[in-house]
Amino acid sequence: MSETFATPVLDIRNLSVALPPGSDRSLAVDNVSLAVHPREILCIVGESGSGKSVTLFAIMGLLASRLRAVQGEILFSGRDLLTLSVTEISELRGKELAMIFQEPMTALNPTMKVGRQIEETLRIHTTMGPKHRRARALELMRLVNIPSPEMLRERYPHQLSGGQRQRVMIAMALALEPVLLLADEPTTALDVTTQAQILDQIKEIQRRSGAAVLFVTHDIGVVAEIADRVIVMQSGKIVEQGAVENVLRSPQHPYTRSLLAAVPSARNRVPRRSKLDAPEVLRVEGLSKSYPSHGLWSGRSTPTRAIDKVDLVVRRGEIVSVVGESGSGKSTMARCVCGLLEYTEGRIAIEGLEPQTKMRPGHRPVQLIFQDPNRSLDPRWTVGKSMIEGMRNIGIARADAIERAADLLEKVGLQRSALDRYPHEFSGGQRQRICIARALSMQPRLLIADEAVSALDVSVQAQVLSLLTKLQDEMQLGILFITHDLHTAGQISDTVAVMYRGRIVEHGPALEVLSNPQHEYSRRLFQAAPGRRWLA
Amino acid sequence: MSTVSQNHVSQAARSTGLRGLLQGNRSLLLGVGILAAFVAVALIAHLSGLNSQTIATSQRLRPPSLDHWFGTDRLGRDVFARVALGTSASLAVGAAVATVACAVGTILGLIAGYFRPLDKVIMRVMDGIIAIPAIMLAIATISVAGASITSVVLAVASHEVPRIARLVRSSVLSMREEPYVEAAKLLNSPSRAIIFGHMLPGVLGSLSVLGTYVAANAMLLEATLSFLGCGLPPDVPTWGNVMADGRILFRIAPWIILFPGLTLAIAVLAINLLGDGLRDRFDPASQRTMS
Repeated sequence: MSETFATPVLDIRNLSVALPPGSDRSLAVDNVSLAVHPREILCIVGESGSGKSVTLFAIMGLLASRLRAVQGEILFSGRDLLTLSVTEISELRGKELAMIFQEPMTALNPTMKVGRQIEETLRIHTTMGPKHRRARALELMRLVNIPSPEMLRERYPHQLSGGQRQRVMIAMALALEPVLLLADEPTTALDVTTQAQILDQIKEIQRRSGAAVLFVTHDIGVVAEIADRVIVMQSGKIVEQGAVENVLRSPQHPYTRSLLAAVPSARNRVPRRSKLDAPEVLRVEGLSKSYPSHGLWSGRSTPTRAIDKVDLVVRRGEIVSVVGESGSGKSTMARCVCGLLEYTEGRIAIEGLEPQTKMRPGHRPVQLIFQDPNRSLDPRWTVGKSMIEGMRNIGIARADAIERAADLLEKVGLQRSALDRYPHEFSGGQRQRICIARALSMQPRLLIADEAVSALDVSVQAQVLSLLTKLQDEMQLGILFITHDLHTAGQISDTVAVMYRGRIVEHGPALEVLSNPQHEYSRRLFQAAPGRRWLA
Repeated sequence: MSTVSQNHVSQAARSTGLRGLLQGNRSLLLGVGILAAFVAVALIAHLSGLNSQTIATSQRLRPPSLDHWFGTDRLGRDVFARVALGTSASLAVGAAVATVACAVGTILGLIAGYFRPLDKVIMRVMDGIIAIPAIMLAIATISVAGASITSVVLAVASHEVPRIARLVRSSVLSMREEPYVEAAKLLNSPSRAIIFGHMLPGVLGSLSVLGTYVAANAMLLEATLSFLGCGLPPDVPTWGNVMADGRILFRIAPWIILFPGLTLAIAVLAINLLGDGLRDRFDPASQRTMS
């Protein structure tokens, strides 16, 4: 690197971390050298298993006991962190090194008020008196834009929203004005609008305090938003690094190129025929779902509305995306449509079935693909057993069912031999393919994908998306695609519906809605999508 | 990455079967070993024609010697023979109670967890049973039904059922939310298939752990009942009634109560070791690799 204007805050030289024997590769981190300079935000980006988090944990001295740094040094203010004792490193942690974790709910102590948790950091590492600590905690909460800190400091973590919790984590991390802030996917668990605020917050704080930030993420959009410099990791090795504009605009390494190409966006859209005259597979009219919320003693109930008078139409061969943040009611709607949840009001008409005002259990030509492929197949069943479960229930003979299961597996790009294996022998993407094949085995007219690609790495995500569109085209399925990711919605859908607080606030052809959102909330949502400028 | 390495662990364990289960798990191995020895002693005692009732008045209250390893009691009966023959009764009660309690508790737990309207009824009855002290419940049952091995097993099992039902119910409640169970519903699987195909196999791991504790507890309770004189009929030697015999002679002939007591302690310890071993094996926390 040419920039030698200052000594780096953190200097990692030839770091290698060994995985326990019997793993898929011998080194989790393979001969990695990197430097973080003062006042810069360095992003490490990579897919799961790339070694990015392990690198971060090695710096914090938080490596799992089965992992061992076998080579190299991590120099921080002239000391090698790998050779420090436990007490020395915990002295550094918090004081000069601070870390923000992915899931603030588990990183915060659930039994302690958040104000006290911030003060605790000060109590342990400084000699401040209680009054000073309190004042400083309030000051920190104000710094990270927590609304009415006097009130919120008295709350427990579960009483705060996800964004507020992450702000508390950042406030704790900043309490002692660290030289280096380490962030491990700090916005992955948050909604897009909250994510945008937190990213702005980190940038602003970095600018004001002059701390260096090492930011680990899998999301290239986030990198585009926040990074000064970026490092791309693959299988434990650094494959490319450089200024963010250079890497994103003109990637050199083939892996970086394929990673960037896989990022969903309206740019990657395949031209699609209009389906406006096709027959309807799903018509939802005035669908509402409310939960009775009882007072503790009164017994009086004021129902909470999870979805409120939703209308939606999916035609044969059409992909309709429902986008919204968590709690917007999009998943509740999906579960009402496929009959896992009873709804309170409205009508659902599915092709081939009488319109119904109350869904009774029973077979209906709708299948759901779940978000988490690790949990949507019974871990104790072979893939074959899972695949034929549904077909056997609708009266297909065992031999025929097995034959069809094998055909379907081949259709989704797996081998016949998969039938005899267990789910844990497959990767997340492969498992999602199995789930798709299983859903198709019931010959549904409508497929609901509930965040079906959100848990997958970008490159796998791209494969599963193209599989879905291919199958949908071949079989003329209607797909209801539930997602929080606007880029994905823009890439694959014909129609986009934006959900907010249980209502559909905007609905129309995908490109129109995405390029020119009318509703105030959709505009806010689209502005918050990370990497908007880069992807546009 | 954590999933990948975890996969290797479980795969290795699966492929080697029972051997893999025992390997590297010392408490499991020790527990199984001691229990196997107990079973062997019980078998040999019955096959070799040892008689627990042979009365030899000339040999009364002899301390342990080469002829009488555990000494003799006030009727000159060989304590070792009585303890060895009592092993089968104690083990049988433990095993039978664990089986009955697990079977009934699992069915009740599955029903309570899966069919929500029945939950309140079943679980309140279970709460009621838990509220009654075990020993009282057992004594009441036996005094009504008479002293036999069946009534002892039923009396002790009825106290253990609620514990099992609670465990199974809570596993079922968390499994209900699992996507694979919801997927099965969408695949039109009937409740019966979901309960027995997806949920029952899911609770077997924790059930086998709790089952061992239930067995250990049942053996202690059976010994207590026999000691109090309301357990198995007196002609069937059990560790409990051998100890009861020795109670009044404790200062003169402590061996009568010492040896069956020691044996009981070792057997219960072995079963608990087995349970601990199984827990280590099934507990996901102990399998965690890295995160």
